[in-house]
Amino acid sequence: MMADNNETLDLQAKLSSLKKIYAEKIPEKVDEIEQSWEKLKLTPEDSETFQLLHRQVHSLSGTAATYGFTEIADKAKTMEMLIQDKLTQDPLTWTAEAIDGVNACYFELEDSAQSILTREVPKFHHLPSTDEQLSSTTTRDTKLIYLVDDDVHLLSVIEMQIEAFGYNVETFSDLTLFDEAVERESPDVVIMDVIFGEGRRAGIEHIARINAKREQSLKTIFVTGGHDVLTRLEAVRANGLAYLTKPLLIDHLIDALDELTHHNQEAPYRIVIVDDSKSLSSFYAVILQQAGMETLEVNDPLKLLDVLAESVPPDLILMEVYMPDCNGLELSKVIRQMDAYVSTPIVFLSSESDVKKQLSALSLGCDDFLTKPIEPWHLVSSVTSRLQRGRMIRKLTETDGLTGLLNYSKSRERLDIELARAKREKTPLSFAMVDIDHFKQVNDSYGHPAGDRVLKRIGNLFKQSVRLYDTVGRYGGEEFAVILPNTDAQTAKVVMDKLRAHFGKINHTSDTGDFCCSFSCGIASFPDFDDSTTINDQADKALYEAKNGGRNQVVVRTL
Amino acid sequence: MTMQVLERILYAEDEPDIQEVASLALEMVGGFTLKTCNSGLEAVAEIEAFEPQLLLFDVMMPGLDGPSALAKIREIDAYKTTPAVFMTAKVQPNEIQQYLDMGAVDVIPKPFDPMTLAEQLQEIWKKSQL
Repeated sequence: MMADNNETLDLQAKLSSLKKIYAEKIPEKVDEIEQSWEKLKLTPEDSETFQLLHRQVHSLSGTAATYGFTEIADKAKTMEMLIQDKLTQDPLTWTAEAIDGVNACYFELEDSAQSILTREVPKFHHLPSTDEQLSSTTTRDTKLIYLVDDDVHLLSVIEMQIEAFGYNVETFSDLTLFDEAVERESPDVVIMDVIFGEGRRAGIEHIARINAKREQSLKTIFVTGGHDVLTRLEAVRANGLAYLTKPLLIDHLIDALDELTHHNQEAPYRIVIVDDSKSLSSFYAVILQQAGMETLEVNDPLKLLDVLAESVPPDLILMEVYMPDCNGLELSKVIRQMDAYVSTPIVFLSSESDVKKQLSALSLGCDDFLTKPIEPWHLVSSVTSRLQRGRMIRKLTETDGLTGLLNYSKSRERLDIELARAKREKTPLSFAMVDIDHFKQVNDSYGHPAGDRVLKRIGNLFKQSVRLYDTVGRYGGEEFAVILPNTDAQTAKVVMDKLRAHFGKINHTSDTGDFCCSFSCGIASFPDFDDSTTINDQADKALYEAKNGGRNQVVVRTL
Repeated sequence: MTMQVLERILYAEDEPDIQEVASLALEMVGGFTLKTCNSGLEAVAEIEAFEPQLLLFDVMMPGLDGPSALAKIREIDAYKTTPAVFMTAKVQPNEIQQYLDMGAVDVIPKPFDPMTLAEQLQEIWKKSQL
């Protein structure tokens, strides 16, 4: 059975609330210890009270440690050690020194217990719930950019351009107003002109002053008309992260913004964990999730092929060697015989320390052998290095070099996979085909480098604007495809229309002048059409209609 | 190769606060079926009705402590070889050996990590099945 991670996540939530409840009980437990100890001081030979005291102290030390209150646990432990040897004493006697010792321990314990109440309860590591993850990817947060320049005309031109790329921009022509805005809300990035009426490097000096008062420097891109080294040096010293010269090339500015805001975020790594033990697979899943990866657990090895067939190919398979029914070595042999998974890294996890067996696993096409028990950081770092290389190789073979989007055959493959999923989950799916209008004229009039930049821009715009689990591909030439799972035709039309409007506003630059472009788009959806070839053809027909209807529009094909 | 899957665990611990954490960890993460007892005596009384595959006992419990409870259980034919694991805060190497000599297959030190407790038991179970 496939297992999800909800239970592990649930456990963390439950542990946190248990911990809170426990924290509230600590003062009471310390009070009980005090009562027993005070009673024992009055009747030092009362072994029953002593047994009770010992049990109370022992219990506090054990439970506090379990809940992570180490200071309390340590102090209770010290007290336990002090009174321990009296367990075998008969009759019970106390020297003044022993009493002082226990007293001192008790006071320290009481101190720690009091400070627990005023301090925040330490938390178990919190992972976002599936819902939170979902909402964070569906409503992609817009990054806030503060644009500061005393040239009001330039401000409005740049503002429009940046907003076309999905950024939220506020402009300031006055440094005081900018200061007030920073106080109110910290921006994700500041784009700051260097020269103001206040001085030749007033912009840089201003940022330096603000940063000196802040814990974290403002991420700043400086913009200037000059090239001199001293100014650049000052900009670096003020923690400027990028430095652009006027006339400002909007492409460069967007690249810099994307980099600083990670707007061009890559989808998280997807790991399939194969282990017959649910507890182990959940454990690894939590560790890998904490490192930002997505995991899918398979507890029945015989189900692995079904799971693989129904989902986007994973970046890596993590597999236990010893499993009932079929072992990891056999299973990896099977996986390697399937074309789609020839390059998927397989990493074995096992307590197997026999070198011969490890080598035989490697010869079967497994990429790495990790021996259990494994430290979480070791697991993450070994897996990460495999993942980075794997993804790079995949990128080279599956994506288009210019735009970084999936190539035609991979896009078609992805459509098949997503369609299968949509059918299984009974959710809609939309497929949009996009073609840039009059692209040949762009190349002819402004040159191929300018045409290439338009292709890159549209690719970037699509990638930035759609959800992480949507797919954007370059079908070839100036034709693109967008796969929108769990989206019906009407919603897809709204999404693509928004993108069309954005794209139309982008000002493309070239040596022979600036220009704007538009695109036409055709959409076909499941369940209106229910196989990928038909969906593809219908979207193509819709695109043709959009072109014939005057271009720069989105057309939906329905039954 | 086929291996029996660990499902049923008899767990004895007198401390309710620790019981709660361990039960959550074992039931939610491990997916095990757990019978929780508050004392060694209760564990001895419950074992035959529950038919556990593995025993997880706290060492220090009032009345019948972990090792004594295990000794009693070993007198029952059906449970002579059932893997037993002790949990204890005291884990000097020589003490571990003592517990192993008493018939435990492993010792889990306290405080345990609730996130990995199920994994630890699973590992111990696998080793005991080889």
